Amino acid sequence: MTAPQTLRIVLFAVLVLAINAGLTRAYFHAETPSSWTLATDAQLRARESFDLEWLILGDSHAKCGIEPRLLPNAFNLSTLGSHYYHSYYRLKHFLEQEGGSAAFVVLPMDTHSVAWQRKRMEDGAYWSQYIDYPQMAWRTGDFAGYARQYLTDYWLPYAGHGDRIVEAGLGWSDTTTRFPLLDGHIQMPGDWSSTPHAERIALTEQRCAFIHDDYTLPDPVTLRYLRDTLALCAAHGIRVVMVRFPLTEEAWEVIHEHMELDQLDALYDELFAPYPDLVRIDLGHALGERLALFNDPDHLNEEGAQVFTRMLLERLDEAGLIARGNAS
Amino acid sequence: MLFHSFAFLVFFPVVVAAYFALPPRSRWAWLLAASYFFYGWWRVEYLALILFSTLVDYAVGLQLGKTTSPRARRAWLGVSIAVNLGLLGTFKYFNFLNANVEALCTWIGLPYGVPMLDVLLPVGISFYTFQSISYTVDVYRGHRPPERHLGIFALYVSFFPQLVAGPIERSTTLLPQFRETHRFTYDNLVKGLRLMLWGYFIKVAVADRLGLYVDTVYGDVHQYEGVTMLIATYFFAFQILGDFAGYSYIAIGAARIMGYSLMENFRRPYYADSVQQFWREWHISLGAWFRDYLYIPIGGSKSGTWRTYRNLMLVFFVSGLWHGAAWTVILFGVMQGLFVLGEKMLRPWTARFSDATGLDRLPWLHNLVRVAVTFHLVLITWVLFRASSMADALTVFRSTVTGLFTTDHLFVPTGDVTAFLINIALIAFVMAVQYVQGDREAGVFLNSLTRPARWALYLMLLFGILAFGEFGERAFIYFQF
Repeated sequence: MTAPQTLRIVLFAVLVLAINAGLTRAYFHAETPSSWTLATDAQLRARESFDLEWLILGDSHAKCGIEPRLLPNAFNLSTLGSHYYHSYYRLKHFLEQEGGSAAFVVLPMDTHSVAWQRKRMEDGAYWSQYIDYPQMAWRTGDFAGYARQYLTDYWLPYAGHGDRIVEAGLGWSDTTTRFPLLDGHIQMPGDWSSTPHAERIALTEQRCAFIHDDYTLPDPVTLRYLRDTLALCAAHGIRVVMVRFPLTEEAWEVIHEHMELDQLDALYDELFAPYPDLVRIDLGHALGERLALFNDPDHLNEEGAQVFTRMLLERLDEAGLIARGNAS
Repeated sequence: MLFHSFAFLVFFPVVVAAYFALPPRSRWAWLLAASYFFYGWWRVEYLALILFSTLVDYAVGLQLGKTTSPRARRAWLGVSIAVNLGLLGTFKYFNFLNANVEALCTWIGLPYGVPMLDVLLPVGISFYTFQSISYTVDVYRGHRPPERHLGIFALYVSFFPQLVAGPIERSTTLLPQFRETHRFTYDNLVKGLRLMLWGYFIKVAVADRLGLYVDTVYGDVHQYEGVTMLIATYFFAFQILGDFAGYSYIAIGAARIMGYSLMENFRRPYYADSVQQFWREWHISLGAWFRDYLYIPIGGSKSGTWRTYRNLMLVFFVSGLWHGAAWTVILFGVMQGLFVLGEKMLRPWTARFSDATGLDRLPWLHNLVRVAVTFHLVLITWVLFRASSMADALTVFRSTVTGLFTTDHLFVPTGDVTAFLINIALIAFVMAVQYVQGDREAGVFLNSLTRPARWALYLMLLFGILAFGEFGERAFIYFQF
């Protein structure tokens, strides 16, 4: 290859990288207003201090279920569709890269928490800031999958999302469907009791199969990330509170058809045994008959979050982790 | 392995790098291994069929080289054709035929108990069997000597860029290239990459995007009508163009990088001003195959008008059958044939009509009308090609016409207006590029642009793929053939 040909290739590569950077910025600009994950991070960064007393991690159950303003100096850093491995990497980044601290970390201990759900690797552009892809590839053995994921999440976050950039560029973006996000907590507006019974049952079955990964659990990689998260918290002197979030009784009936809850709890016993100061709070059945407090079979609505967080406060008070007067 | 899969993005550079790193005399073995790996990626069992077809045609070729008796030569050729068409018949047509015989027996009240074959159609079987047949016919006709190197012959049958969806190459042009020493050149790299880029763009950013809309509408034909149905059919016309032409460009580009020249397979068929012209610009290698190995041997156009018509209809019928084992696709072929015949028969009247209406004096308008009519005639046949059944095809025709001015659900298949408009814009872009391309091959056209224009086009295509591409690794439609 001649020198001018090499120069042309280099020039072209520079142009490609420059446009790629521009499109990446445009994508984040377009996506942030409607992305719960990006908006949650923006709210966290807007805080005066990263020294928290309560840090809530987990998936949509925690995101919709815990109202952080009822807890002292708390932030809900949960992310929709996330899992233990997400929580682990986000917490690690918070503690080790962002200089944050927390006295307590809340993590979910739901029936689906030990499922894998590879399909949940959504919001890749967001997670590319936190996830250690080589480690994930090594642990799962899916080298090609994570190589591809790294390429698209880190280098090409806008890939396949050109429509969003065009919409934002033309001012057509629709952000009217957003629900309020307060200290990382989403206030869901729905009322599950208004859904007809037959439709509720059908949706509940679908939803339960989805979040439990068709009941192919427990997954060893997921368990490993839970162990790592507990160890990370112990290393930073953080006490962990494991919470089982409420589901409707209709959802529990479906889950009981497919799972032995005793076996799952025995597994949790084994995992938590090395951490005697870990607190377990099971509120799974606490609101099950009160369908008006749910947005759908497994997410609390705004009123449900208020009721649930107050119940949680009582249990934390009983465990001596909080004085009720401290709650805001 | 799909060209637009992550696996291929790793596979191809590795194959190319090792190919040029190896000494020329052993490159065939590397390419053959790579080709079998590429094909076996789908199912390793498929390799048995391609090996069988290869061994039979290799042996037949050698026998044809040894035998001078016309009768024996015909017999050997018959063996090759019977084996290849037998493979096709078994894997592609047996169940179709069986189902139809069963339906017929049920209708006339006869017992019938032949079970269906529980086999998957091997990917690309119609392509490599045709390519293999062309070799034995060429040897039989004395157009080339038999290939004595089994490895090189196996590579001819299985060369991975064009193995599963063409272009269907000729032994006279492809086989000699495996004996040449190819050097890595900047020129080949750039020319190959630009064809691949164009191919990826029309496949991933155009065809696969449009496919989402088409699949939604054609997947539930009773739910949609009028403009939505019509738009879905328009979209399918461009989906199948992008899908198949995209594959061909990637194949030609990939081969070019390694120094191989494959034949052009698509030009700009939707600018064709007659259905006959359309077939000269659509799947050119198949059209040429049918011309040389079927149409001309049965008499072509040299035996009078009616025989020419009969020969044409036979070719289009077989072409329909080649495209799939379903009545819809057979009818697709027959209708294309009828349109070509219609054009030939009506030529004096259409010329008189143009003259009488003054269209002749406005060549651009005349051409526009001809192109539009041709496109819509082809569009009618695309309905048959895409519909899951004859009943669905009839529903599409009926509901398109009866609800012609109904725009209900127009944006439902895309989810929103933006995605719909982007689909239209992408189609307009492809048509604009092809308009500027004119009658030149895509590679020649791209080469003729000034450097700033070329670079601008490269960047548009590259970021068009990334931003608007559909990355679900949707298989190429023609793989099923």
